[in-house]
Amino acid sequence: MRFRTQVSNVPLLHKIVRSLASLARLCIIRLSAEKVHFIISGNEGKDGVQVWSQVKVPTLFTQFRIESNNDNEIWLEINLDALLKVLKSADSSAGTTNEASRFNSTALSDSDVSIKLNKRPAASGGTGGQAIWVFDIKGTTALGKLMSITHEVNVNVLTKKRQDELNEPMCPPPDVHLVLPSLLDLRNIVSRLSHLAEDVKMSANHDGAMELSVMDPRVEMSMSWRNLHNPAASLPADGEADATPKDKMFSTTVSIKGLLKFLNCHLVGGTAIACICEKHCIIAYVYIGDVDEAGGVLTFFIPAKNYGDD
Amino acid sequence: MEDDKTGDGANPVLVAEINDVRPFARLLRGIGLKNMATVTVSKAGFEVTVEEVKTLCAIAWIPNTLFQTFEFNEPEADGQGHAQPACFEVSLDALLQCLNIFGNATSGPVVSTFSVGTKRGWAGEGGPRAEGEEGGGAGAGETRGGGGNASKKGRTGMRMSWQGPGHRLSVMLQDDPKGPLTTCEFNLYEPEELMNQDFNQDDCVLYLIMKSEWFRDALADLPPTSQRITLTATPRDRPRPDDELGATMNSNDRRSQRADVGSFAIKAIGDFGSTELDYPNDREVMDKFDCPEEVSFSYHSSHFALLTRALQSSIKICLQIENSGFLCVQIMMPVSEGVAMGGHSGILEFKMHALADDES
Repeated sequence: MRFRTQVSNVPLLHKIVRSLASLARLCIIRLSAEKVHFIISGNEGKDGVQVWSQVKVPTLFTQFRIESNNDNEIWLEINLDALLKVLKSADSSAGTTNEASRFNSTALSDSDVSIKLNKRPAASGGTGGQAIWVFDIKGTTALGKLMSITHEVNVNVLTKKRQDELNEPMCPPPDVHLVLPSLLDLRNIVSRLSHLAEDVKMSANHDGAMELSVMDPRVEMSMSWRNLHNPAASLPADGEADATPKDKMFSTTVSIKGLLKFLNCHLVGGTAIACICEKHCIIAYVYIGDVDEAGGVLTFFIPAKNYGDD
Repeated sequence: MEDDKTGDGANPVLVAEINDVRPFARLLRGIGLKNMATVTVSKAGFEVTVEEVKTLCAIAWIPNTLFQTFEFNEPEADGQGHAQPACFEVSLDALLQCLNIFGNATSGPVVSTFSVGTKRGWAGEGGPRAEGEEGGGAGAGETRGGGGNASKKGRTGMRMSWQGPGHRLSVMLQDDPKGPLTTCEFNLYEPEELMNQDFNQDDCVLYLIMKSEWFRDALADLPPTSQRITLTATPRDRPRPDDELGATMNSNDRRSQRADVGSFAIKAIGDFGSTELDYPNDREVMDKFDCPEEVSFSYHSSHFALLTRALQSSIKICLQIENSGFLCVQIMMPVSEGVAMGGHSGILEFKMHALADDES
């Protein structure tokens, strides 16, 4: 099993990992020659939120070399906090713009980061040994000096059995697709809604309207957006065109914490499309880079909260 | 969702519209010491009362001039012909959270010197902080300056309406005409009986008006560990005290001057020392100062801490004390343009009892 690569877009990788780190402790990374998948599966994600995403290798990496007995794929599990720390030290572009802290920061800028899969030998020459990712970072400090840092992060290579257990969650075809307004704005709003209640009902229709509503003994609040865009995929096939009235709202109730976890990915900055499967889940696709370039997409599954016969 | 009783053709009791919720939210936040508040609506505006028994009573007087539109109609009599008061109890916390939904009704950082101020939850500022909230000013934290969001364009407009007793309170908010519209329906409750002791003007032994800034700074300077604050006022033309042994010339002069013109002093004793601030009855310091005889009363420091938020952004305070020590502090907000002489743009009133001499 061999793997090594250069990271061509350190800030982007950093943003992706920052978004994921708020969701879970551990993340599964599935490496293949063409794509890299970041997976946060069912029992791992907080509030049941899952992430199944894929990024084309060239979007993040160059000189990508992978070799294994498993169709040249490698699946491994890594601790997101550890990964985040490594990337933070390589990328000073994120975080505060405070002058003072820039000079105090130990993060490097303009870094060359390379990743290699290695094995740390077991103690006293026994069998086994810990699989690790070795990060070699060469960059410039805030004061302009060249510096080289090496990190070793433990990774857990998944067995075939474990790989087979990982499956994207099943869900029915979505009822409606919608391009979401600015994720940052949404996140700030939902964060304030979280003070009022625990659950939020998200509704949308084929006419570009979206609604978030919250219910609490003290107040019922609902926010509505108009003139949002329904991507073409959601239009019903010909012949069914009259079946669903354009203004029928489809809704799902989800935990606000779960929704907020998803909204933390506003850092990645791309277009976000939400699909509502009524009373089942919300699936959100966050595009990395241009939608047309299809550099990659983070897919979030946010399960609905069931209240029996609601 | 249960249906609201639709208006039976009658005019709504209240319709109020405002272009920028900030002054409105500021006033409400100033009295946010409890979650629930009693609201009385009249032609003049709102009277919002929050009372904590054995602590203090806080009232926000919100004039109709704050609003671009303010229409009030007396509620119709009920089935038996009894007049129904335009009065209800509502969750102040929920109301403030809603007014701030676009992030444009936040307070600046709250400097509260007495630790009690921070342990106590405050209306509109509570709730779990969302995890992973990071910097970049991205709406990170209500108590951290209007910063982040408010700096973008930040004017949340509001339309509030109330059909009358038996109906919910409706509030519509919008930040940007192209942005989302928020609709809130507040459940209202029967107002509780309030003690709300009136201040007896005829029994007043001290009446002064001074700049808020001085008072606010004084409270901030008092030792955080103190339990009681003592207010002392002396009238003018007192016999000058003898020079104190070892005191500076400046210090002796100051004491003489105070004896001549009258003074107001705030004192508190903490674990590590005491602080006393005194203000002469000087035209530059006091707008008004009526003190026929020396008076001195003490109050709980923690109760004074509750005035901190109200004092921010205010311009003047009027402090009155009754013979019994019952204190009434009225905090006046900056008067907006276009308000008639004698009118105001919001007053926050706090009333509390003095401590008995042996209490701490």
